Amino acid sequence: MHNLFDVSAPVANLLVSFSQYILSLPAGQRPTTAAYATQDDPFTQPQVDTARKLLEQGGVKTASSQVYPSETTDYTPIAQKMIASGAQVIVTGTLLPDIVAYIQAFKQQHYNPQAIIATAGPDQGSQFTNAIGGVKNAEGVYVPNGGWYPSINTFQNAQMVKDFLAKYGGTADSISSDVAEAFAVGQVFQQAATKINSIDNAKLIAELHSGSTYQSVQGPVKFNEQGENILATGYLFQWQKGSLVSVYPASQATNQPEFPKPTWP
Amino acid sequence: MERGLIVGIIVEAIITGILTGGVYALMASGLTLVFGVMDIINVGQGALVILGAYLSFFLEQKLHIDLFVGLLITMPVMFGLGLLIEWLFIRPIKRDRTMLSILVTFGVALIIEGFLNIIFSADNVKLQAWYITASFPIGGFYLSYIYVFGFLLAVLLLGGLYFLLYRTKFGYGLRASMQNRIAAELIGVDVERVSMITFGIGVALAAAGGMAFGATNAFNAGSAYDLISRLLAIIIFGGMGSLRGALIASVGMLVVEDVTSVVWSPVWASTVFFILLVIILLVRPQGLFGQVEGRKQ
Repeated sequence: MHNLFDVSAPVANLLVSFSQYILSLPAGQRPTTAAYATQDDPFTQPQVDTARKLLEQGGVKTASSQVYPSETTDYTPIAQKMIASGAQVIVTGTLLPDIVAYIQAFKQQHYNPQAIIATAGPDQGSQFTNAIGGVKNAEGVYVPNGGWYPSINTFQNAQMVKDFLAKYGGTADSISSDVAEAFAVGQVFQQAATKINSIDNAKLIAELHSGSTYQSVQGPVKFNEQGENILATGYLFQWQKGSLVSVYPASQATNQPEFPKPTWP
Repeated sequence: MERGLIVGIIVEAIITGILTGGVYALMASGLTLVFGVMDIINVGQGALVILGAYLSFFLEQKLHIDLFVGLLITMPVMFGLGLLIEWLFIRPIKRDRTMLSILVTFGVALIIEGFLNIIFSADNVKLQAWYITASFPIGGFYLSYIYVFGFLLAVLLLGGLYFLLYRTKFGYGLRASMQNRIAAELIGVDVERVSMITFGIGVALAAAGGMAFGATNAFNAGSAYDLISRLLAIIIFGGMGSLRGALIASVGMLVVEDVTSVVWSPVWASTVFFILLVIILLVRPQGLFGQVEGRKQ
């Protein structure tokens, strides 16, 4: 589609940083098996497929792989199969309800993989931590990030966080990344419209395809022919001691990754 | 995967399917009961289940009331709400009750969803209690207390409903209304009153089902849509109007889906169930326990 633009990083690449981190671990520490479960969803499945491909190429065997319909409401059998596989790494293509159900099932079954990552859900701040019974249960859970976290030094981010907290209260860590994603879209639109002095759709589409670079709370934005932001960088985040912190790549990390993940409290 | 391991997860899937099926039976029983008595297809049942879940959430978060104890409050409140909905929206439908009820109850569902979004926002929430993540070992795996408690609650409430239907004067009137509304009126049954109370019971059961659903799933107001399609499939499978059918169909659906999911793939879980449903409907169009004669009025 010529007129569809995605300010956030291309979804298929969001788990690359996680895969690279797992493969960067010393041989004696590196997990050898992984289980995958993803919604049949254009947002989640490409991420998991990419991660699986990279991890398999790096020698991490696939212990289990499942795709399930996005309208699924009973996640128990999917969790059971991941648990039965005994995989050391769990890679899930989820939204919030399914990763919450998996964490609940893993805890119920006393299953402690070395690493758990979910494509979405753990980035939903207090929505996630409240749903899984508190931040203590979130410890060690990874989530990819399309290029935003509350303290990132990007265009207008500090002001956005300040304004959001003034209006809705809470803490910076409780702000959902959805907020930044939506705000970034508005920023790009505003800059493009200001530049061409028009909100005519055809002119805006032409401007966004022109190769111009825009600034957003998610970092710089420049679209390729497919409307993907080629300047977007995916980071790896992890819940540590009640906060979601950047852990990989090292150049962008504020904390060391916690590996293996501690057992459930 | 090793043979022993496969057998193990199949057994586990069957057990959790049965336990989860009990909870779905709780949600579906109100739907089937209302159809049986009133010829009403309450497509708002999913929204009412979610409303029940939110009421439990409110009591747990604001007043720190245990989820099961909270049912002593939420079920009567939802019963009253059911009476109100019946009086306001259902009773005025005087013709084409079955078809028009779909539109009316869908409207009720939208109103409920709108209010829930305003009050609780669209954020996902989940009920919390010690028994939700706690479990005990049984035959090589752990069984969660919430599934066991949820199933026991379903047995208790469905048992109570069975007693009400088959051991009380009100139950005789209700069953008479299910078999033939006009004949029931002729022998002195106050069908309007029976209908109103039945609708209230159906909504009260949604409160209990909602609590069990919210304890095992993160939910928001929009969660009702996935839920209602499953509940409708259950009562069609079991036979519309049949309480026993709702129970067996719920358990059957969950066991078939869970086993298919672990043995084959979650993608095929619903498909296999719906193939089974189509085959059964070809053989028995009225569902497993539906009454053909009861609907000819």
